Amino acid sequence: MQIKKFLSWMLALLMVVSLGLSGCKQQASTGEPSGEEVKENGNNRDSGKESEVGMLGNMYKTGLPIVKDKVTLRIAARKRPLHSKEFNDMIVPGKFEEKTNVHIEWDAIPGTAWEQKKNLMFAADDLPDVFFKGLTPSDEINYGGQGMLIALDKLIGEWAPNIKNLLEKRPQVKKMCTTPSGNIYALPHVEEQVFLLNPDNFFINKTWLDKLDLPIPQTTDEFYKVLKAFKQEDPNGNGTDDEIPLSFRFGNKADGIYSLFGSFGLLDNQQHIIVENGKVVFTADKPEHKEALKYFYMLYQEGLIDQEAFTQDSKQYTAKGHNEPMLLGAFITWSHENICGTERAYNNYAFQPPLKGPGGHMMWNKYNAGVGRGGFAITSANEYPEITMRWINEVYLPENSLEWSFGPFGHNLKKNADGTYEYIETPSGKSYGEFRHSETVGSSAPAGLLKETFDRLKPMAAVKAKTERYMVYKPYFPEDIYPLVYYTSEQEQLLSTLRTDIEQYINKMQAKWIIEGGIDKDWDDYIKQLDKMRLKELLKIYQDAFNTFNKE
Amino acid sequence: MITKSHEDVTFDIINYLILTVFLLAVLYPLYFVAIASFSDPNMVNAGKVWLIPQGITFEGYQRILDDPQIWIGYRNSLFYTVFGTALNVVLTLTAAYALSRKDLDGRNIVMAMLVFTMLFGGGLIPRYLVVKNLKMLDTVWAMLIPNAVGVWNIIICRTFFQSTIPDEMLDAAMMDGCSSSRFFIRIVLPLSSALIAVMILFYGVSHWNAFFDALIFLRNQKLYPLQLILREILIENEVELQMMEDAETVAAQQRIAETIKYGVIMVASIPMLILYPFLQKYFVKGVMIGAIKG
Repeated sequence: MQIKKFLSWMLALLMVVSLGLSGCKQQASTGEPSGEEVKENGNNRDSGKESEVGMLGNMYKTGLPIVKDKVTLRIAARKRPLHSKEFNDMIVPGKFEEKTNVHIEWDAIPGTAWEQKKNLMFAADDLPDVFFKGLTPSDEINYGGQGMLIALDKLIGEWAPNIKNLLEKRPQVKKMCTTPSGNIYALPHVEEQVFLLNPDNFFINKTWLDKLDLPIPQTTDEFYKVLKAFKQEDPNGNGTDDEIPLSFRFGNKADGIYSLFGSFGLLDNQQHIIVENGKVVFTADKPEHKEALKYFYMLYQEGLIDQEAFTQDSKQYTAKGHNEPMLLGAFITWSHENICGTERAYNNYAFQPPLKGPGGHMMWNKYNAGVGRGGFAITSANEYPEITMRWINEVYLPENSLEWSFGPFGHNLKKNADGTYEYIETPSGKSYGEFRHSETVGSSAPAGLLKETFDRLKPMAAVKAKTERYMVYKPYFPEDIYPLVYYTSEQEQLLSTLRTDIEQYINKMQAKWIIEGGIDKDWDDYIKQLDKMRLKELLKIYQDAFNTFNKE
Repeated sequence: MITKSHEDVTFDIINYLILTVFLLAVLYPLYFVAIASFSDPNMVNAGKVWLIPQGITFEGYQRILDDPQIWIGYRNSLFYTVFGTALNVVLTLTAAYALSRKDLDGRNIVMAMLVFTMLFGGGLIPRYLVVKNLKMLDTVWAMLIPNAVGVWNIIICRTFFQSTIPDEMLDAAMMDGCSSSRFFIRIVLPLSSALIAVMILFYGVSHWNAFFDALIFLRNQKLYPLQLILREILIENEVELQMMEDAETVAAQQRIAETIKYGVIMVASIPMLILYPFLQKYFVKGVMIGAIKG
């Protein structure tokens, strides 16, 4: 009796479920006709009228449009709050669809959800046809190895002369995007603006210097004296000792003090890894490093370093820069326009060149910039890899790349008769970032922009200032830096455990030594502790990956 | 008139003192957000705004008014909240009532199956696959159907029906020729207004605050609810930048976020703040139902 009842219940449940399902199915089949339609059309065309020459299935082998019958590609790209419109309503993607006859269905994923959604797409096998930026090197290795991303080398050779050309012109870039297996799974995003090489820039308060009748300091000693004067002589004139002689954000790549270590003979960075004579060198256990930390401790002891330098976030940093009256004497950041506002940045602050240390050293950090990996990848779900490759080849054409990155000609950019380009001024009431992203995918799209292209683009004011900064630091860049390398999955695994621990430990100790001192006393234990944390294995991974990189 | 003894008076004074502290603790964040929403963001970050707005500016609100995304999100959120809640309440009440009837065969099995889902879930990926295979990805249905009933709420309602609607009432109605559905609509529902209000509030608030389903299931920006758009604006992109090229973009984003942050929080909280006072009196009563009589 009981069982019968149960069965009849289950039956009823099943009926309800199946009814619901079939209903959904019907709806769905009317919902997305595009894919099947396209396929059918493709088959029809095969049967005849077009001459076979110059065609590959539905695709024209050269020229525009790329396909005869409209094809739809699904692209996953990062959506930023700066994008005020949907991508397909923007001028650049719209124009591009007309030119190429390829329709893009955008999977616009909010930046904060990107990682989660990307992993879900791979795990649930719900892949888009293309990923635009935002694949990590380990994604390339893992998913490329599993066949969920397809190798692009052959397609580039056959269908993408622009990209092939770009990679031939920049062998270093080609190396950086070639995985250890020898395949390219994702095209690089190339944007060779020189000023991106030095994200950390050093600024000093020119107004205060003038007021105290001091020159821009050239050495670490002079710098110390200047900071001291900032502290004691109340340069902002409000009668209280509220000046912050030196501020930074400890441990941050652009806002941190890594470049200042250079004055003592050895640069530092977040990984504490540099390259000297083709060898990977660990910085944080060298005597030069120690000297630098002692110098910072001296500054801190005298109250010349911001008390909040180890804890503040970028918002607090910015608030200090904007404070009335001025608080900051010297500070380090990527863009002082962001920290203290354009007006103050240009009127009150000057670039501080690298300081000459006690040993006569002057150095400044250079980073791998102008090239990013994971710019564009084709997944195994893509039914038209050739068409996709021809499409992205068009995007990498310099003028098209300009439009995809910075906005359409006639709206954000203009072409001059002499073959140069110019930015159109940002309308008032809008920030440049918003203006740039108003009619194009912008920073969420990959591009192929070589230095040659930027040479023809007249810089706007902000770019000009950044280029000047670059010129200040350029003579002090190290010759070699650790390149963008790929790690094998085993290396990656070990790396992630070792790296986090070791870097955190070093950070902790550096902060301690700057704030409390005692570096001489702690040093031997510190070296021992690093050894215990398997520093040697970590360095071996770095060196191995570096060797693999150079072999190719 | 009862005159208060000294003890009573001191008791009252201490009572009021403590309550005032609680009140301030709850009220102050709200007040802070309100004044911060029209203060200069740099003043806010410098910690100078805490009681009186500083450097009053309406730029934030101006931007919010001009931002079509926020209003599309607002419209969507209202839609999901109204229709989602309606669907939730209907399904929950009907299911709960049916399960509360002792003459329903197999109700314990159904109940056990429901409770099972409270304890064990398939996890994110199976859930995504189900929604995907039901072809609900990227449709409004993904926002309404997968969470159409909350088992916990069914239990609350079932307990309520079992304890407040006496069996004798059903017998009497049946005697007069009343059908089950008629009994439910004409007698049970009117007697359950507190319960319904509570359900509306529970489901309404959760719909209004929900962003995760949207984040996972939707890709058409025109369908995004407000919370997803807010999340985008508010969560700081402190992720280590892979490329310096993005630094400028992120900085620009942050500047905007700073100006509109608090204004946007205000705008997003207002509907719920309005809803609360009207439902609050039922709310307290309703929550007690499950607590005591369960």
